[in-house]
Amino acid sequence: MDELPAQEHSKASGLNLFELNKLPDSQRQLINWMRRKGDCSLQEIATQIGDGEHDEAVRTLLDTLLEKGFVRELLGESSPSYRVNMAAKRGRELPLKLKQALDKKKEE
Amino acid sequence: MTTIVSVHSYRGGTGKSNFTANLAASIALQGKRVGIIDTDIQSPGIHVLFELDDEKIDFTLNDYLSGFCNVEDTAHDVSQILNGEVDGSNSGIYLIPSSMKAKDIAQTLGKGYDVDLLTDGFKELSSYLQLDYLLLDTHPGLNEETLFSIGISDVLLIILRPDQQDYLGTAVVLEVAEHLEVPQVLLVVNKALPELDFNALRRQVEETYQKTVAGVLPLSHEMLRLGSEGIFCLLHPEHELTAELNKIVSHMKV
Repeated sequence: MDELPAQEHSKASGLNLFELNKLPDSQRQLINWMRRKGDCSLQEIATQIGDGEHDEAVRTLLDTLLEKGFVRELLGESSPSYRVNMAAKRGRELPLKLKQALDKKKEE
Repeated sequence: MTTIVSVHSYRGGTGKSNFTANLAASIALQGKRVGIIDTDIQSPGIHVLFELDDEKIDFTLNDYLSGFCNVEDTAHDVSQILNGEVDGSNSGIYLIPSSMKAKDIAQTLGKGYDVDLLTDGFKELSSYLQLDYLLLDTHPGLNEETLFSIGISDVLLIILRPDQQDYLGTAVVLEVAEHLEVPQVLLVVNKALPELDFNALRRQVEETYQKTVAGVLPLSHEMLRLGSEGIFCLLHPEHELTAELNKIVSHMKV
């Protein structure tokens, strides 16, 4: 499966879950795990990815997700931690009549 | 450690909220602490089963997502529904309702919200209330909220009726669950006509989807008669539906 172009996502403010299945397996699996785990360290990510992985491979995978804006780095006192950067839930435009009716109700 | 359980169905009317409320009661009767979040912002309603009305509800999930309160403020202790049937234990049920006010629903859906607030909120609640289980009552179908809930769950319970449209929709939900790598997916067949062969139905569904059917719940006149005015398993502890419900709890891996 093709990888999403980094540039396209650097503009987006986070991951929309509908895009998750377009990601390569390694990225999708790491994101799924991180979402359940919460904030995690580089060491925890390396352990999750597997014992056979080199530090460089872990760093590359993480850098790709950071570049796409799907993961963000949280600076800690000693070492940084990482969390999935979810896109905000977009609002939906309500039909004008419904909006007016609700505004009217609010004023009452 | 809190086990997060999403209760979902592809179509509406499967009895999802009723099932979630009964599941919560069944778990609490086993001495556990349970939280329920009504993530069905578009069409909430589970609070009715716990006899919570507007006057008793201070803050809702909508208020938290809008930044008007802390997530702890939205938790309503509804353990009184258990009628003290679990004396001496630390069990309890806490409900985080969504607002049923049209303007609140429109505002939350219209403005959108920070999804990270939900993730943080789930964690804070689990820790603050020392929950064993956190049940997420979802909106039917597939939308962003649903994917979000399913994606952070340890267990996904998919409710379906013995109905061709439900069967097709369940296949779609299962495909999504696979992408989101939910650790445990269980199926629950609800509203099965009593004259059906439940064992055959269970086998058929399990063979079709290659997933465990945690329970087959009969369509019950008593449940229909109750009309969401209470929690069925507490009012009918000896009923076959209650017995099947209790079995479902035992299927969930902690």
